[in-house]
Amino acid sequence: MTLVDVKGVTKRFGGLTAVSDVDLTVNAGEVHCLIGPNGAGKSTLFKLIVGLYPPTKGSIFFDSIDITEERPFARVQRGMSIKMQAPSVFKELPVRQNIQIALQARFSGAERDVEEERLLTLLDLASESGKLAGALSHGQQQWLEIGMALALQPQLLLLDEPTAGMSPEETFKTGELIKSFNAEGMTVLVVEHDMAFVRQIAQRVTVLHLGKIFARGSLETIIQDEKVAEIYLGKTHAH
Amino acid sequence: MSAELFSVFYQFADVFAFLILSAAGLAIVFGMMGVINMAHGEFIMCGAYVTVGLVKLGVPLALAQGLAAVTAGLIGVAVEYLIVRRLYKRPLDSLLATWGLSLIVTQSMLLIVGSSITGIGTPEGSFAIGGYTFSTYRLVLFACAVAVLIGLYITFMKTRFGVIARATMQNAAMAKALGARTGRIYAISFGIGAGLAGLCGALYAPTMTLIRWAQRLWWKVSSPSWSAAPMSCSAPRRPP
Amino acid sequence: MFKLLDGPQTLGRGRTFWSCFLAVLAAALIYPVFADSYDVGNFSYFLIWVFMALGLCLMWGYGGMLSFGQTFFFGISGYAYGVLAINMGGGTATIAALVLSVIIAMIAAGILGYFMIWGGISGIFFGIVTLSATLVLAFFLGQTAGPEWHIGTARLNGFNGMKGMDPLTIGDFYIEGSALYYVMVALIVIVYIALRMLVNSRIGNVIVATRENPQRAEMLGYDVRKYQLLTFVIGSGLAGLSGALYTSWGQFITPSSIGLPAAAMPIVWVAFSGRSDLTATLVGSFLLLFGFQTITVYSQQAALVLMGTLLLATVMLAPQGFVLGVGKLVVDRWTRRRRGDANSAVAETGRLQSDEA
Repeated sequence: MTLVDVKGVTKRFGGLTAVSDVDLTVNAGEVHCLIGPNGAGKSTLFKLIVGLYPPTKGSIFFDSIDITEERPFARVQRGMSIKMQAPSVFKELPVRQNIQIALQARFSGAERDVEEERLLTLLDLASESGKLAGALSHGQQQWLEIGMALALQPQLLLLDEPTAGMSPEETFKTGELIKSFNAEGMTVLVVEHDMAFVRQIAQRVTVLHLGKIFARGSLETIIQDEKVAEIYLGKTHAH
Repeated sequence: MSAELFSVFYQFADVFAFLILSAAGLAIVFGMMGVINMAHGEFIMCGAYVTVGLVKLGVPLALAQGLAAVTAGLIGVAVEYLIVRRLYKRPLDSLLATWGLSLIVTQSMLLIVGSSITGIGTPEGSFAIGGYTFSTYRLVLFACAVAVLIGLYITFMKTRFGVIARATMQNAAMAKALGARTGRIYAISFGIGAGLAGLCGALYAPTMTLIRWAQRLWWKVSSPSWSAAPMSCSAPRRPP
Repeated sequence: MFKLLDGPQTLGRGRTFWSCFLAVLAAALIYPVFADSYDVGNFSYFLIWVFMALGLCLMWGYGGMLSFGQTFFFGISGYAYGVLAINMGGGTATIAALVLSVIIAMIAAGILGYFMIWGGISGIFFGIVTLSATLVLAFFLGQTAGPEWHIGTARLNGFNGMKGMDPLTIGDFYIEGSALYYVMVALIVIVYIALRMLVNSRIGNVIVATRENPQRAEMLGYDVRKYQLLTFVIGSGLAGLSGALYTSWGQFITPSSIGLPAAAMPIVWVAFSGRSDLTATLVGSFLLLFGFQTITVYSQQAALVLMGTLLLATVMLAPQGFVLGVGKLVVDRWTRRRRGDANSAVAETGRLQSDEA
């Protein structure tokens, strides 16, 4: 079943066409990676799906409902959950309250308390729960934000470069976390350019290049695609 | 016909001159530094008071006006150095700080100088077109406003200072990295803004017979003191 | 219920704090027995303004929206009370006039807030727009001196202000003196407790989240505009409550309680007190009002100079507020001492246990 359906979406900023006539489908239950070199339009496409930009042309469906005109909060209420590229936790609030703010939309009472403890433990933040979120390390802030996205118990988890600024160990742990949630039925769409991380988690991959879809398919086919290696690593490498 | 046409132009010129002279300084400070200077009206009044004071001491009007603008500018540099400089990262706080400053200066002046001083009279000179008489000084004000605009254009578009200032406006951190002394640029810009406010006050001082601090040009809303009334009847009066 | 009173958004928690709270309340309740009626009347006068300060604290400290329009809504409601009380003919109708004028202020806040918030105005421009509205209202009312400016039988009277309305009345009983004082104290306790519960509730969570990072809050599925509007309407409505009480207290209102420098006063109180905490705002505003009135008796200008100095000093030296800073220091000392005691107690029991073993 198709969960996200992007149909013929174009986004222009003045004279620059950042995303041009892109079709993208994400099936329910998969981990889908959106990759491409810098400037390929990944982040723009991500923001279009999230609702931060209105598309110049085309439409976006979620669960067969047209959400093209909806604001981000309405999309989140439909079952999306979003983690943007730069960590943007509530810096002046304690870690625990960050989690609570995310949780209170779905849970209440004792159930919320249980879920709160579970998430803090899961994220290795239990001992830091009284600290201000702004005082956490960069990697921990990324984790906290992923935790806040998970707290909404979404159908679809959208992550924009979730491992930016993380150490290799943290990156690996994040990958395992994403896989464990996928195993429970959550659909995940990840924008990423760290290929090692993509190999770890991806089931299907879409490659974006110069604002257009360049290739798509299962992880194996994309990895073996020479043209993809070419745009990623430059022509000299291909020969 | 031509007299009526000129009359329309004259009225336009009058409004235009006041708007340019009173707002140019504010616009520079906001445009350059993102600081809304709530004490702008105080700089205007500073220019007016200094002009009136100097003229009463016997200084020629034009010289007094120039000195008044310079005085306001120098005070502006001092204010930038002591207060505004520390608040560039907190634009709301810079607004509040200048508001506090405005309260202090306004009320101190009311306390020390009183609510108004007598003016110095508008320079003589008028001319007639058709059946209408016009004041020459108003046209001088218009010429000054145009001169200020041209002067600002040249300063910011044609000089080395202007290039650096605009670079600082676009990206202060980058300009600093390229060797611009952004601190000094800000101080000078703030000084120019304050100086222009002072100039506005200086130029308009002769047009007022009574210069009242409480009726500041800038807000145009006279604000008699707050809460003077409540204390005059501290216990509720019984209705008749 | 207790969780909401003692939640994470408010400083001052636990038994010690609430004991102090009750002690202060008790002192406030027996105060009129010992003071003369003039002082009680003055005290009520300070209390009038506290609502406005608490409203600004909610909007600015918790919601991150610095409104310069507290006196705008103060004025709307104050004039509305006058117009209503005069036209409805006094008596018990004044109570209805009070309630209606606060509602009118809240509707005005709803309209202004809707256009600002849905129009994407935030930060410094939020302040500029609200300040402009305030100055326009003050200017407008200032030029309504002529007899053609009247609503029903109520003359607006320009700068001389509107007068002749009844104070709050029930039947034949004028609520004034000690009775008014007790009404004020009761209202403040209700508003303070209600605001504490609001900011510690789920709604309060979203309000502070919006202050910290509106985009992130929206990404958690909250329509932040609605929460901002709610905050603005409540905060401005409290300014309206101050306005209506003010008019009924002195039986007059003038445009000077709307324009500059009146508009600066709530900002000085809240900034000096510590905008991020309701209790600090309550205490600080009261102290400042007390000080202000004491000095005003000698010189109004000197009092305003002091307010300006306090605002400048707060911004430069203690952006979080002086009262809050001192309060935190005291709490810190207190808990550290308590913790020190507790630690030695633990050590004590540890020693006893090892003795037994």
